[in-house]
Amino acid sequence: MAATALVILILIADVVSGGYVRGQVRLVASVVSGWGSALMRGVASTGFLQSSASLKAENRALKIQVAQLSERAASAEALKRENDALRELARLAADTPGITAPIISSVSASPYGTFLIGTGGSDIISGDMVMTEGGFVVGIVSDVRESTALVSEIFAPGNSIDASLQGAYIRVEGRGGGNAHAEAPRDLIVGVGDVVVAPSFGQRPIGIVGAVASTSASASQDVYLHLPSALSAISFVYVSPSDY
Amino acid sequence: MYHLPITSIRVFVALAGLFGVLWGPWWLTAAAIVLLSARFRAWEALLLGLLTDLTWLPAVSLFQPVPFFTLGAIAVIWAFEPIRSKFLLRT
Repeated sequence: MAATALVILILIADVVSGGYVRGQVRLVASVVSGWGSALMRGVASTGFLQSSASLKAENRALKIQVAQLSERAASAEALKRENDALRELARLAADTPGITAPIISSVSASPYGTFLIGTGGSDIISGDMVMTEGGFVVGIVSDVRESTALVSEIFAPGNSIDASLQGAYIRVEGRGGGNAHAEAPRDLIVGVGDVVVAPSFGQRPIGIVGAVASTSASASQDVYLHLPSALSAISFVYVSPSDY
Repeated sequence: MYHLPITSIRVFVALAGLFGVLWGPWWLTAAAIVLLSARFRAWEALLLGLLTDLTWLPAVSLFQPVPFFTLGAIAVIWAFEPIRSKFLLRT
């Protein structure tokens, strides 16, 4: 009973203090998370935990992945050039102001589809867009503390966002881990690697098509989306005001 | 056969839950909360729930968004109370 009361008291104290308690908790969590990640990287680099057979299999899989990623990069680059040209025509800003921030926590630990970045204070505000280096929007800043900020992934479980695929409107529903699902009209020609953009983020890309599934009995097709790079492979993100 | 002291198991499960809070997966923390609650009046289960919400929830309040892990830990601890009393030895 005492422990329960204490926990509720801490929650109330955090609400009353405007988030001071969670700010301190996140600061400690980011430091400890960094130690742990550095330790695991050190152990992994020795190859202690890997057998020769598993290393060979991993090597083969990575070569295939490199080839696939090269193809997707070429496709994304072509679309980016077209998009940049359209922005100029519409007199949109070509350069997006913002700052670069490191990801300082695990991106898979949160049950709410959030992660921490190492910037805060007056540099950013809640509602700012968080993007990859390639310009894909991965989330929005939801809570800012003194030196850290919490980012809510747009593909978080339970989240949904209006988007556009090949000019057609779709409603994208987040599945977590940088993955999402949408239903598109069955007669829309959708291919793996097609880029999905979001009007609410200034027509910026939010993901690419990873797989398409349809049945003859259905009036729609299931489109499975994901980020071009896994969030866990990203070290830095770009934070920009959402009205750019 | 070597039997692990119950306290060691409790500490191990709590640490596994803490690992889940910081590095994931989140269901590891949830499982630790349930296991601890089933066997003990574990204050650390409440702490794990609170840590999860303070670290990862966009804004902490009692109502919006709902701190599921904290409230869930409280619910699980108290829901298991009759079972702990009737079938298990308390420690």
